[in-house]
Amino acid sequence: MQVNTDGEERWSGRLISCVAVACFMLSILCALALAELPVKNSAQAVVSMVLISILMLQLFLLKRIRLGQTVRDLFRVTNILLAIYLIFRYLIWRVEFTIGGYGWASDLFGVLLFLAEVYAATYAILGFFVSCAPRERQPASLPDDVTLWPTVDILVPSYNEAADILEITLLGALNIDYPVDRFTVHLLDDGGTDDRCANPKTAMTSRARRAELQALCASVGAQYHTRVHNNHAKAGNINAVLLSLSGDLLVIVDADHVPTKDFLRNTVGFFLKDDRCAVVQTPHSFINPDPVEKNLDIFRDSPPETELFQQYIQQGMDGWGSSFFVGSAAIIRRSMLLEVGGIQTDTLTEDVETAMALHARGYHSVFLNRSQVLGLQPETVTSLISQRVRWAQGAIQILQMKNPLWVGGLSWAQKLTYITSFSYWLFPYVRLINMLAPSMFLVFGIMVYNATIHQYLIYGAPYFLATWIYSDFVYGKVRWPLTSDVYEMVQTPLAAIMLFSTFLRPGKRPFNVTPKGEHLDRDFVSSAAKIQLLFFVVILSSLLVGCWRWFAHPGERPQLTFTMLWEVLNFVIISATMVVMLERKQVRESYRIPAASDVHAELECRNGQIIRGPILDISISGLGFPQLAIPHTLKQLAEQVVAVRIVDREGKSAGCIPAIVAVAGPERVGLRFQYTSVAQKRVIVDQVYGDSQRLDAYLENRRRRVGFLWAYSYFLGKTFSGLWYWLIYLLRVSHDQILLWQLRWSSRRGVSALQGRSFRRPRIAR
Amino acid sequence: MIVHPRPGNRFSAYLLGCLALWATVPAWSDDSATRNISVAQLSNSTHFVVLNRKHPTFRFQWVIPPVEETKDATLAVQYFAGPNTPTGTELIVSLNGKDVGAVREHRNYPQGEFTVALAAGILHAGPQVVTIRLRPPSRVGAQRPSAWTQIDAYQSILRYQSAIERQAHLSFADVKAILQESDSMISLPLILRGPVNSTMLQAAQAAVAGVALWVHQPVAVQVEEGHLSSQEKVAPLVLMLGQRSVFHNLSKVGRHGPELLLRHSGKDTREEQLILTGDNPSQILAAARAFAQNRQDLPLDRHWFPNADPIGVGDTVASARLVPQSVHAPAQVIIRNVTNVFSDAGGSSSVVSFSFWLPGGLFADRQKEMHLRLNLDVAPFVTPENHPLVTILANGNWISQWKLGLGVGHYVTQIPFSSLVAGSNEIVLRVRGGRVKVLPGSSIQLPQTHTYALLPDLRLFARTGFPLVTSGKADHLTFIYFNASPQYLSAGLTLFSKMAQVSRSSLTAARAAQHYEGVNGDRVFIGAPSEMPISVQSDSPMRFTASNGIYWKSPTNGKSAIWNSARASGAQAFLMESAGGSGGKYWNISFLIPKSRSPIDAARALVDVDNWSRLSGDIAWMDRHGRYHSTMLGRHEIYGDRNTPAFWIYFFSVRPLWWVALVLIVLLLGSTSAAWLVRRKRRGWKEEV
Repeated sequence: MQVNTDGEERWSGRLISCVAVACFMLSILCALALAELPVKNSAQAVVSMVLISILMLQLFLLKRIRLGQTVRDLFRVTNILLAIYLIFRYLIWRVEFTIGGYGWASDLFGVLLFLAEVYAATYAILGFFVSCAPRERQPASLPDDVTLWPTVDILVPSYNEAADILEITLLGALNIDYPVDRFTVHLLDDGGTDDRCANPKTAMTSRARRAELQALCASVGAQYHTRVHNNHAKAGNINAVLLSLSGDLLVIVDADHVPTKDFLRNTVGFFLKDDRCAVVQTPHSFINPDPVEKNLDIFRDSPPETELFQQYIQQGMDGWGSSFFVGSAAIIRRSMLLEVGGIQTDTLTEDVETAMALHARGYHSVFLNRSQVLGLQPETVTSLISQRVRWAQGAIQILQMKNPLWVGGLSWAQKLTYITSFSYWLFPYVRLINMLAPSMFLVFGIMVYNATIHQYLIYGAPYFLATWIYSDFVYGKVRWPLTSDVYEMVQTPLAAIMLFSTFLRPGKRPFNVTPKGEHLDRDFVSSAAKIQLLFFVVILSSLLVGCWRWFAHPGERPQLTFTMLWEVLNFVIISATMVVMLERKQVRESYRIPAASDVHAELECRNGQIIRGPILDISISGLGFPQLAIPHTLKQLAEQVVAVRIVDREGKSAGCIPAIVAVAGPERVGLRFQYTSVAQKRVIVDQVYGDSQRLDAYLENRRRRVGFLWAYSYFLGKTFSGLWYWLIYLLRVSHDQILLWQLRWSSRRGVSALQGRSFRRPRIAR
Repeated sequence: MIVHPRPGNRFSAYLLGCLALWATVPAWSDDSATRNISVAQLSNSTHFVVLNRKHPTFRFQWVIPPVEETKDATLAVQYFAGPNTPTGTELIVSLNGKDVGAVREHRNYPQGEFTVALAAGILHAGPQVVTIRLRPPSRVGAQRPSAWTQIDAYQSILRYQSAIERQAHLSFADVKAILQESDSMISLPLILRGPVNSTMLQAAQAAVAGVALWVHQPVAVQVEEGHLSSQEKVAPLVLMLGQRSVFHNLSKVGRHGPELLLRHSGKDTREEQLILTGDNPSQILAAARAFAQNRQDLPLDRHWFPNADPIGVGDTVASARLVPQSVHAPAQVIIRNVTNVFSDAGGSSSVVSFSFWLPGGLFADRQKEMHLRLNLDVAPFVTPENHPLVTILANGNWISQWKLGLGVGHYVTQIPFSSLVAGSNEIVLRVRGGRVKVLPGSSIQLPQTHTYALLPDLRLFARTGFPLVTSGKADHLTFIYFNASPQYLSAGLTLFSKMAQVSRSSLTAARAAQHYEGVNGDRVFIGAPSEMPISVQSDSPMRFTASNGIYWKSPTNGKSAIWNSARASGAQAFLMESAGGSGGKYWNISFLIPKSRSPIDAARALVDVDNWSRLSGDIAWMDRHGRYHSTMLGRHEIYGDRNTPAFWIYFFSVRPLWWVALVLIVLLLGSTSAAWLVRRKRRGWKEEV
């Protein structure tokens, strides 16, 4: 009887679901039909105002009131439906009234622009689908009986990372809070393979590297692995050891990703609860600024760019059972990985390819939105572009070679989410068209978008606002307006070229390892700046020509107003991009993070005195105190301090670390650690990277919602500030060049004209 | 002819004029009269007209009616030359583009008068254009910017002998010129001889429409039964309708059928008579219809015997667009009658304008556009390198602006349909830096439209006669005269003439009746408020009782409207538009004048441009000063076919809140379903945990 009741409930539930799906589809079809209805512009304006008002009200309530999950879901899907209607209406209006009509050039470029908009609109709708039901998981608990816990192998693949970076990663892995006999840390060195050691060009460095890393592994307690060949790069490196491993699960962390202590305790439980769970992915979090954040100086007060995908999109995909493995900070069931043939090697994005293969077998994936690793991002613009281009090429390769739409075993939702993720990487072409389209009209008078500002306000602006409000609604804490535009523009020119070559030859592409831990000892202009400068000149010229056109062709003003506003926005984006192109000096050896509030330091002095004080921040190389907290002069301190002990709330200390006073400012005194053993460094690695809650708190500090106008003004301020920095840099370089020419000229004449003069550098306020 | 004036020596100028007049004396006839008209009267100008370098030309015109013979025309010009005017500067008088006289100015004799003879050979019936032009001396450097000459428009006089031509010269082609003698409103006496029945009234309507379509001015009809009363003001044209038997010596013996005759009244005035007759009322109606429908192709004679079944070539403009269907396919209108105004004095701009007419109730969805295809011949004012700039204006609204190429070229521009109005639309091409000529082949391409309108709307009715005139012939229109007295007939026919004008249709199928029973379709009621039957007032926002009581709705859109009442009203006349039943397909116009008021005056005031152009809403009433006031008392209804998708497009366009509601319902259905699915999904996840 009970079975019958359950069965009836299940059937009635399914029936209601079918009705709901039918209603939803009917609504979408009706929305399409209504969008197509050619009601007059005045009525369309009223609709626009009402719909946008509803969206704004929702956003207002979301920001001001703590809403329940059900209400938030209702708001979210309402937002999606309204946005879809506005998108449909906009595209239909574009087709009917705004494309071409002024000669072949107008037709051609008008259609191109429209195709770009169709792509953007499709991507937006797919994005709505992906993010409509995000799944927020909590860590799965482990049984009390430790013997039931699976054994784990932690793999750290490496190719050219420095030993000091690897040491921190290995120590972090070894610090993981898990029974020691149930996990092993492996360093997979691809920089010391037999091939490389035999290659005359690399033999010396490779052998030295192999020896160095073997010693490192021996000292920290990790296992060193290398192989004969370097085939299939990182994927091949992992596959090479798969069969030799014995653990049930394997963790893959990049060489610069340091795991937190609770990594395994938070993730392993999912495998015990779900036999078909193949992979548990956690977000990638970073300790250092990427070049955009660094050069635009937005690292401290704006959210990280990567979090949109690493947290929100992955959560959305997890809702559809398709969150995927992203190469690091993931734990995989080894048996299932072996079943699909190990890490896939056909494309440059071996991780996603592997996840797709696992999903196609019907295995499950889990995304736990809790930062469990802290890593390094590329430091230079070219490194960033290189990394992103590799991802883009991998995505295009998968679209061409293993298109999810045709992969059997994937559910339709998984196919859609995969397609959404991969199709994002077509953005360089859309960005190119968007950046250059206004110039076609402003410079050449080619009508690519035949609309007045009034018409755009009725049809275009509501669409734009609806998608922006949705973005703000769903992930406003981590993605501010203009951020995506700048990141995309930084990558666009080179990515467009590289992607084109991938389109032509999707087969094997070289795997370029992203350089990490680079030190920039001076300001310099990135090599990617030349092509961006071209865009800058084109857009600036277009604006100037547009001003001329305003007076010379007053008849074009209705269209000109709209196009000029568009071009001004482009100018802001390209200006910010140009600011990013000036690489700023960065000499920091290791990155500081704020210390936990419940720990303090005890400074051991030569005379046996112990000075207690709060810790401001801590890094692998040292820690900082507030000056006022220490009742000694700097000189006294420098003479007396010999070691430091970090003490937690309960008064426990992991050990004493030798240290010296390295730097002192008006507010902060910096101590540099003088390690004498690996154990000491392990303590500090634990302090810096071990606590995932502190890591969350650190990351949370950068996340916040801001208003649309505030975000624009913030970016404008940063851009102008960056342009000023550019100007100073140019003056400085020009000054040096002039002195250099004078020196050359004087040396030719045999006169030391510069005698007594020195190269002066202008002060730069940073 | 160059005249050299002397200081204060007007004698020589007069002498010259007198000599010219003397030379024409033998040609005078007994019924001739001397006419003296000041230039100020002719040109509507101020007292003094200043000619200078920027404005060197002064132009005015006078009209010679076709029935008038003009002799011995002279123009005496009084002028004053400015102190900086160089000696040798000439004032040149041209008539119809030909120089007919000039005077050379002298700085020592700034004030002068000269008279030129306007040669009879150059004069012809119709408008005569006189130009007075200031020409600086030809020698180099003599042209001074500060030079000017003043023309005294009050003292400058045009004189001529006017003689009425005999009717032997009359033809139907002269009707237009005869009617154009009136300036603001044409008074049209209409004499109905014989019994007045529906057919005769219908014939009268057709004849009045025929006359009204000749002219732009409003036509005030004054019906007389029998003979024109002698005390009435003399009008240029008198319409006479009656059976052949009541007219004497009208046609040759043995002729039967419809007949039209244009003849002189026989009085010592310029009054002409247009007689429409036949053997019976039907033939009179046929004659009237022939006159109305063939006004563009009337014979060059004063006597016409059209067939009983008139050949119809009229209504070309209206019927081309006013087809009785709900969807109008894209139509092309050829641009004709282009007006060019060159401001070549400053060498800066010129204006080209043309008009076209749109029927009422046209609706084009979304942002449909009208394509204006122009073949233009462009010539620059200054140097060939300069490309003139053209600005397009539609009904005074800025549409677009672009540079023109030089020479002949084809241009296409779009004009939003929303900038067009029902009725007459004016397109203006304002060209800076050049002159433009619109060449043949230029056209207007209208988009596909549908017939929908929010009614009642007296503004729309005033502009195009819509919705009572939806086809060129007004097949469903009936004028119902509750009161067949000449006064009310005059009012009705005056309104009918205006409807013909605004709809640009002869309305030849429009019927006339004296009872409303059994009359369906669109109806115009003419009579006193107390004569309005209660049964036809059911849809009216204002109702009248037989005892002069008035009830009117409060101007609310709610269903529970409040009715107000009054015993007497200060209104002199009422014009109302209301639904006529049949689901909004037919509409009524009621033109009601209390018996204590003058229907003729009420009708004249109604069709006066000032009042007619201000009509709006669903009711208008005339105050004691002859001004009409309008308001909206009832509710708007949608006119048009409700069984097509276009209806919904129109409905949502004019009722945007319904559109919003529909969109929201559809989207909320989807969002509720999706939210339910998400909730179910979350419940499943919880169960997993």
